[in-house]
Amino acid sequence: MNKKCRALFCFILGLSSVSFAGLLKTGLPLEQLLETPNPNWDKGLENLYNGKIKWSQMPEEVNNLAKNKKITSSDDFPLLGEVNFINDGEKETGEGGYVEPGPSIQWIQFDLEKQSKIYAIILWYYHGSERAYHDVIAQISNDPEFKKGVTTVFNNDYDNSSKLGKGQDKVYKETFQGWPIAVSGKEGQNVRLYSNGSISGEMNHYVEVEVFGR
Amino acid sequence: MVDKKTFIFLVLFLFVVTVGFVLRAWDAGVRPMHTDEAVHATKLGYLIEQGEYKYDLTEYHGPTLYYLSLPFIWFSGAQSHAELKETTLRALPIFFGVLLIGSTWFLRGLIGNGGMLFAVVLTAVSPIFVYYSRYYIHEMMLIVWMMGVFICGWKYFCKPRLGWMVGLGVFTGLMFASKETWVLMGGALGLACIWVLLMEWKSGQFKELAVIWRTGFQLWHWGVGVVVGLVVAFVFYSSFGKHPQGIVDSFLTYFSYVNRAEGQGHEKPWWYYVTLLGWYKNGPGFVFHEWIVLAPAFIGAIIVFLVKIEDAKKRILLRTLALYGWVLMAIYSVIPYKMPWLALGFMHGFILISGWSAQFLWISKIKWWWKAGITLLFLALVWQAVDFTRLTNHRLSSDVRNPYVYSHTSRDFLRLQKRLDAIAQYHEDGKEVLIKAICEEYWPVPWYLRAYPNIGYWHSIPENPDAPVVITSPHMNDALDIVLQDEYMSEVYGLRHGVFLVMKIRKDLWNKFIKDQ
Repeated sequence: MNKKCRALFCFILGLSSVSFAGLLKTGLPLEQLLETPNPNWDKGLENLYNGKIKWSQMPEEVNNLAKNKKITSSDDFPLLGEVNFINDGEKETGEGGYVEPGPSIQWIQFDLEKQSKIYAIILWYYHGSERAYHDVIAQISNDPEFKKGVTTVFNNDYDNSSKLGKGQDKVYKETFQGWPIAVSGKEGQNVRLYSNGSISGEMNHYVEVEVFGR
Repeated sequence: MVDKKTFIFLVLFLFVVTVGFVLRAWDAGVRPMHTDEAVHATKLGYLIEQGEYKYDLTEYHGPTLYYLSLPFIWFSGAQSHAELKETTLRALPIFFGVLLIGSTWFLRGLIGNGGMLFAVVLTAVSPIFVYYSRYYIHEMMLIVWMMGVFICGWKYFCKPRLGWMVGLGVFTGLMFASKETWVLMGGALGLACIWVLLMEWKSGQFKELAVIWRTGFQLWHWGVGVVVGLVVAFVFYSSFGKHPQGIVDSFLTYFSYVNRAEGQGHEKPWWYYVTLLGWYKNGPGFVFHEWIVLAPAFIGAIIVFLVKIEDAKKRILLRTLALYGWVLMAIYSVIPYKMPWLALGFMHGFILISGWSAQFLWISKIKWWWKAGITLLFLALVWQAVDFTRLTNHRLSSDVRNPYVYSHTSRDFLRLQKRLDAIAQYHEDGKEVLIKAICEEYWPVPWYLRAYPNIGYWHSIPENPDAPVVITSPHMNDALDIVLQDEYMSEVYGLRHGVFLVMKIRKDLWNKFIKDQ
């Protein structure tokens, strides 16, 4: 079932949730492209952003480890919102829905409080209008400074413009379904997520992040 | 020797003008170039490189913007379109923005010293005035010419000397030579004036009106004013005599602009300016408003008609000024075609009457705590206006949550230029690399890629679209992929909100570039 059908199915049943590989469940916000969708998008950009994830098996009992955990950010004074918006369970992009750190490359970081086995990370950047964020990078490490023992689990900075190493993952388009990253049991206490503005502008907008593991 | 009071006002005035200058000039190049700015820059480029300008009756407005940019260009040392910079271009509206603040000094006699200072503060910090004082379009210049009309008109009305009438003619001519909407501003002023005179007539002020008529209207002065105005306008429209057809076209253009008033894609509801200035919220978090100007303008418009102003000339002029802003706002609201920068015209009228009302309240017999409360509220609004100015001109300078952003170029688009600069270094022709822009909408690409001489533009796919770099739209991307013979790396860039461009870089060139990253 493709993503659109799955979303429609969930919406009709009022379930507002989606299951990846039958193992992981997450709530979904309503599809809320606030502006008139660009009629050109599907013809052109969809083909450019055709990244597909490789979803791996994961144990049955995984929880959202990011919930209620401490979040820090590269910007102590975001232009809009607060960092705790990112794990408040609210995935809509309306008032109080997202935090907007400064322009260009920025990160947010979760302290999971103990070393955990991580199986999936699902990211929701701003999905109220058509866009793709640049240089989305997800890293796991026991070091809160991310100077040693860093495992990069997703990186679509294909030209190394963020100077964190060249990534092989594809650029993707933001939707209300977020972007799931398969992590296959990598261990670490801290999860850091980077972005470097979007094709809509230089600002970064984090709506919600879920880190599934145990 | 100036007296102590005037000296204090002068010091405060100069301080506010300096603040206004800093707000306007600070990091003036930070906002990406709007399509209109880019188009004007290209026309200026022709004037610099070929010494040629021909008025186009269908587009681009009047010639003053280009000719009056020349001193700034000479000062910058730029010799060609490619050497122009955003800051050089925006030096012109910044200059006029500061001139607008400074010229308020000459209305002291009408709105009072305190009123002048109040109006100067409003002009200096009002977010809309700061934003469009950093925007390479005609608007700020047009408002300054209108200010010249106010000043000379006021002076002539008080003492009908030929010099003031010549000034009135010059400024009216400059308005004519700047932008076609000057007729709406002039019309609003005329309507307001007639309205006020009729009110005077109805209230039985016949003797005063008769005195004003006898002493204030020497017909031959008005004749000289009209001739001077036309000469000034014709000098510009004829490109200083090189293109006489421009004079004819300067009148024919109004047929084209009558059609444009219907909207042409820029139609908005009648309440557009009310929401733009009164309470603008486009997305979470930010609300912007211009109540720092609107509130005293409302108060001023009411007071000026309620209180007794003994001096008939002053009464007529102040009431005309108060009505001018509202009449112009009504005209702009009725016309379907709307742009945010058009609001500057009536906002300027609002500011001037706000100045007078502030002065009136300050010297009135209201209780001191009322005065203290109003002053505190005003200072809070000034503080907020400066914060709005900071946000709208810097962090949100091209963001759709900014009320003054209109189809603006995305900051993401600057990455395209940066990428191309990096890629060109890996091509044997360097900046002479062949680039084909094949898309429906591409402005302001010609501005940003002005350093690349071998760039061509197509609205549909040409016979041979292959080139080391191809810029296209997402819409044409698929079709282009079929006809392109070489292999390309595609990257997407935001052009404007919801509008994207795809830059396709030939794989051999891309591979050379990416290897070094």
